[in-house]
Amino acid sequence: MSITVSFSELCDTIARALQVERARVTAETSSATLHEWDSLAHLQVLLAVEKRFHVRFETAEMPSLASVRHLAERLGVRVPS
Amino acid sequence: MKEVWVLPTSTLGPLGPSLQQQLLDRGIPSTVTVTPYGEFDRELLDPGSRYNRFRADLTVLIPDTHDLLAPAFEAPITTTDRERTELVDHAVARVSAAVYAASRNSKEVLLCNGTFPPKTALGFMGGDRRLSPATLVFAYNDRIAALGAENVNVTLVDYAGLVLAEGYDRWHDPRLWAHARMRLSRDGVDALASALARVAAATERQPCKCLVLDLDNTLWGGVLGEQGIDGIQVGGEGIGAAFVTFQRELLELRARGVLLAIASKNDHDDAMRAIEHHPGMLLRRHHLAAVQIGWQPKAQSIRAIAETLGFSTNALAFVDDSAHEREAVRQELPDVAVVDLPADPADYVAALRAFETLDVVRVTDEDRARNAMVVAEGARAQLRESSVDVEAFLRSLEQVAVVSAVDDATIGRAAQLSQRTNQFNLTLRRLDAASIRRAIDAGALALLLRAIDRLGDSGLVAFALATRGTQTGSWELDTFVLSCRVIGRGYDTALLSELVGRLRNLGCSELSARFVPGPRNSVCATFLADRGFVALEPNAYHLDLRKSDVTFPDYIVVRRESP
Repeated sequence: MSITVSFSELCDTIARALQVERARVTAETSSATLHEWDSLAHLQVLLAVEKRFHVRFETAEMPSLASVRHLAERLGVRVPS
Repeated sequence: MKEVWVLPTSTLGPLGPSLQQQLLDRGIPSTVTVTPYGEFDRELLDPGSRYNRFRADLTVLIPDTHDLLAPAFEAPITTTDRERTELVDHAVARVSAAVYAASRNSKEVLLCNGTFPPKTALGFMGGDRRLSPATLVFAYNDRIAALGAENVNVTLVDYAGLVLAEGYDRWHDPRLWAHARMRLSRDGVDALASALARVAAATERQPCKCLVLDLDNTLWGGVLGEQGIDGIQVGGEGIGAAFVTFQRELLELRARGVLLAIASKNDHDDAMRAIEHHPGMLLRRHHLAAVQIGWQPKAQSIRAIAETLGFSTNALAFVDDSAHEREAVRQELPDVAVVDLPADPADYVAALRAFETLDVVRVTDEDRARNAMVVAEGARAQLRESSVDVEAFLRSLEQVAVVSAVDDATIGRAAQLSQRTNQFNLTLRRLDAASIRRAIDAGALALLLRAIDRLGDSGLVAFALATRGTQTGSWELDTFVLSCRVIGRGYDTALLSELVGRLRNLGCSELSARFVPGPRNSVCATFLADRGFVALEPNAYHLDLRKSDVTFPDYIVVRRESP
């Protein structure tokens, strides 16, 4: 089953997992720019995205998915320019 | 706002928001703090730790045996016997210290026991008790169970059982262990949060004191009023066995201190005979703290049971297979908890176990003795008339009566109703399809009523047959039956009213009718008199259609399928 993911839905999910305002999550957001995105929050983001979009990340890629842009690329979501 | 602390031995941060939500769903607002990986002992034992600087309302200890006994889990073959013994001793000492600290800092403590590894490097040698880590988990669980018994504010949570029920592989996610030292999967986290919230709610709540049970299709299969004591299904193989399993579960609840009572729409004496003498029944009269069997609305029976037992109705839970009865009780008595029984009786036990109002975390001696006390007292308070608003309930059902003349497709059901109905049966005539056919051919009017409402379709539930009398314009009510499934919902009046209307169109000016008393049909003894029929002599009635009519109930909508 493949589902179409919109960039905005992805940001919604990330914001909810991080428990931050939706407006603070943009294409440029990452664990480096947002102090709430710590290692525990990262786990929440990964689990929320997996559940919401029916994907399963490999252990090796988990650390590198700590930015909106990387998650979008991994899900094949076009990032608005 | 409840201050909740969760102390796991591995990473379990995602449990926090999930547990907070599950507690809120059960009416418990909270703030949940989960301590990070590796902080279990320090948070609990260091007087200056964050945990010890605040007083907690609820502390959840989740010492995972995967962590406590890690060498035996990960390397069962290379771990020596001596190491195995030391591992258990050390784990018990660690957890004892943790429980001691938590029980002093926190009002309530939940202690999770240890889970078993279904698969280890032992492979098919896992059954070897000298090598298997499972042996160690058994020993460890035995010893920490004592901690729960020693401390009044410590409740042992059977975490091992939860993981078994959910499935070990679904519960765990090895990727997350590698990535973040977290053992549980997303599903595992959510299932654990839900179970912990259930236990936490149960430690606060007054548990349900009495289960009020229906009889037909709840304690046995079938309808006693239609099938008789030999026809109901309980005991033996097949569906009867499912009801026995359910009754056994009820008796276990009773042993735990839950009183059992009956609220049933049935003939009282017949029902008591089935309870006392049916060979398949496990539940007997002496198990029951109160019994209400009759034709009154169930809400009224439940109130009477509460009064007899001296409880308020919010201490009661109601168990019935009928969605109608459940809905009626929900509307009339919103504080009575209602168990939604599933369609298949084999699933009844699971539904009861999922019903959180029955959750208890420990059983006291008083609980065990409660049944004996109540039954010994034999207190049977006088029933008080209750002000149940039946009509509001009936109106809310949005009932529809589909009335049609009996035809070839439905004549079999008409005969079945005539032969099987013992309770609401005015004349106790037993007609087969051939005699109904002959009557119709001779000009009789035969009607069937199908009952539908917003909760579902009850099917063809009432049958009436009126035959032409010897004089022009005079008719006789030969048969009038209503399935006991729908007694008390106004369909009897609806069918009589519709019959009278159609007879008038056929030129009928007077209708005579009889009530033939039998062993079980007292429910309809006053039916004719109550609807305006005039008694000429005992049990013989007459209605003058030129002067009187039978009013159609205004809470039922009629649909006519054929002229």
